[in-house]
Amino acid sequence: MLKHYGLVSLTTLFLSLHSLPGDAVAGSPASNQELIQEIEMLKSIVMDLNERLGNAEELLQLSLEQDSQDQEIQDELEELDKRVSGTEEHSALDKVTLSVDLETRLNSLHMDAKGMPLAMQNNIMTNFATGNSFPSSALDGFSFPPPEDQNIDNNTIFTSRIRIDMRAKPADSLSFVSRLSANKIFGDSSGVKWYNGGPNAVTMDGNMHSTGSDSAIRLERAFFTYFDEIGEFPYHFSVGRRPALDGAPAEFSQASTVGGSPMAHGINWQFDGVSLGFNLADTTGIEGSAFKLCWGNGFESGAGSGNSYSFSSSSDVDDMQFAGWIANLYEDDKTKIINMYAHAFDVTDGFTGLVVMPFTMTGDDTNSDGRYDNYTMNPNTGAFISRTEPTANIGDLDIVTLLGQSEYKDVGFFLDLALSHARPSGISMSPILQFMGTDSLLNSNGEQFDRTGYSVWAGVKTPIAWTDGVIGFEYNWGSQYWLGFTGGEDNIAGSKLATRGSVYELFYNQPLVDNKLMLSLGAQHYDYDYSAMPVHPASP
Amino acid sequence: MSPILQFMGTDSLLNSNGEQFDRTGYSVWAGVKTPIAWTDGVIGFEYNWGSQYWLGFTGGEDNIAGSKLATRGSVYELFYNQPLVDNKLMLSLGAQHYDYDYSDSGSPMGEPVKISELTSFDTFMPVVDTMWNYYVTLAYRW
Repeated sequence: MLKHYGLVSLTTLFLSLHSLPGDAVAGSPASNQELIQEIEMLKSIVMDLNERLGNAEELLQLSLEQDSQDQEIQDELEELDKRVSGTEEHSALDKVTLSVDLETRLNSLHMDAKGMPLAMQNNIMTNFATGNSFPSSALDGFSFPPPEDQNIDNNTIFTSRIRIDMRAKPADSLSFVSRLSANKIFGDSSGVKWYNGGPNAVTMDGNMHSTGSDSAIRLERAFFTYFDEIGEFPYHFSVGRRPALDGAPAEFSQASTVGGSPMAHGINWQFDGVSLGFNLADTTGIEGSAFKLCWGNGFESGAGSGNSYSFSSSSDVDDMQFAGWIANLYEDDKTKIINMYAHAFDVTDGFTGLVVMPFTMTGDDTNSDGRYDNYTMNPNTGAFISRTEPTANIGDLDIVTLLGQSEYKDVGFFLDLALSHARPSGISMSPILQFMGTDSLLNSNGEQFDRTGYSVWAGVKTPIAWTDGVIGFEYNWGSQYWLGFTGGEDNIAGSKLATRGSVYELFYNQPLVDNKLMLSLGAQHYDYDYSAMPVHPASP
Repeated sequence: MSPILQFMGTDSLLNSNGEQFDRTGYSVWAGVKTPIAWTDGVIGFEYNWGSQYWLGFTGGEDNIAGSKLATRGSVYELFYNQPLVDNKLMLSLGAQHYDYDYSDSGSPMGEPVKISELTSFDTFMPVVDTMWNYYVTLAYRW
């Protein structure tokens, strides 16, 4: 810039010098006058040129700045191009997007239990687990003292749960969701447990993703959803392994979004099935209203399955299926009211699973009346793994839930009511269950009374401004005959929502890295009123 | 040296009771299909037949009814594929009819026995004579 300006100045000077000698030769006053005029004129020209040069300088400066800005924009464009190309390549080549949920959990368990005195347990094993047949009346007249109080404590038990989520939307009318998961107990890896009577002792399809097991990655959910419209009704249809775990309002205490479709109060149990949902918001004008029909297969009995009677023409163990609906009566950002109804057909006396039993038992029905008359019992000294399977269909079960959830100012709260109604219509053919008497759906010793159960679940939580955390409290209570399918609840202490009694839970969630790393602290107090939480048969 | 196989007699490669005859098997598999313009679907038919001593390693066939290509006998299959969302969601309907001529299709152990000549001892585990398998699949592929 300075260089240009210098050159132009020299040119001006040269022009001036060139003029002066000519004028001097003229030498007259008149010529002087003319000279002065000429100088004045030249002066004005120089001033004008100076002004123009100043403008040119400004323009040049602007133009140079523009160049550098252009360069910056160019660089930015190139970088964006690279990034967009990467994204385009990603969406073109990768058919799924992946996300991960990894939760490490420390539990400290402290239980007061009622247990048979060890000496009596040993006595029974010694006298009965001999391989010799004994009649079903062997325990008649046997007087059992009250159980002793036992403390079962585990100060620390860790689990790590990983959920690998895959999603895709290859077309407007088609989406895909899948989740692979493992729930690993620190220092435990066989995936098969000794039967201890405790919740989830048997590894089953419905609970194996949640209750802590080995390091195996298993398929937790996999389904596609097809979207279309019938007239003005938008609907979606979905088939596969369902998103059945952690439905609303399980997310309330977990600092997460709603994880599953069925309501967690009644069904928190992995299964395979179909759903057909209708979005009714536009039709009814009620925000968020929707209705979804669901069907699932809880147990497959026939040819193609792995059961002992699957290739038999005489088996009378039927599939256990269920069907029902989820009705979103209202739903907006803060408030939701959701009703679920599920009917379980031909409930079985258990599911296929793996477990190590302390003893094995066979029964002999000598008069073919469906009740075992003699038993043979053997200790499982080899710790052999048993494949369990249902032996009978024992009745039907209805479950109804109604959830109301909302927020007032920053305080979130919900109330969830549930009802179960069991109609027994069969007796288990499991020798162990018949021997123990716990052989019918919520009934013992073959009794077949209808049973109605209730459960209430409520929670409240509030953010804490100075920590950015959330503190909350939940309470649930179940009656004597309350029965849901909640064994898939991710809780090493056992499903709290299966409890026949009260559970109090205090929790605190602290975000550490936004919502990407969350610290949760909590305590649950279970106060059971009735026995037999995990198994369907048996009168509590 | 499996006690079970020696007891059942099915203890040698396509031979029973320790006999050691060489065995030759044959199998034929044929198919035809055609698009249907007005539905954008495809309809097709397949047939396969295996002889008494036919033995392949087809047990990984994804068919809950059992590998059709292991069949010592005839299998007839009619299928129809209907794209629902391009080729990303496909509905398939089909029917397979298995008509076994010999026992233990797919198994290398024991002399395959003609179905009509089976004794009840041979059928300690049920032996299928004929079978229909009707299927519907919904396949997401992307």
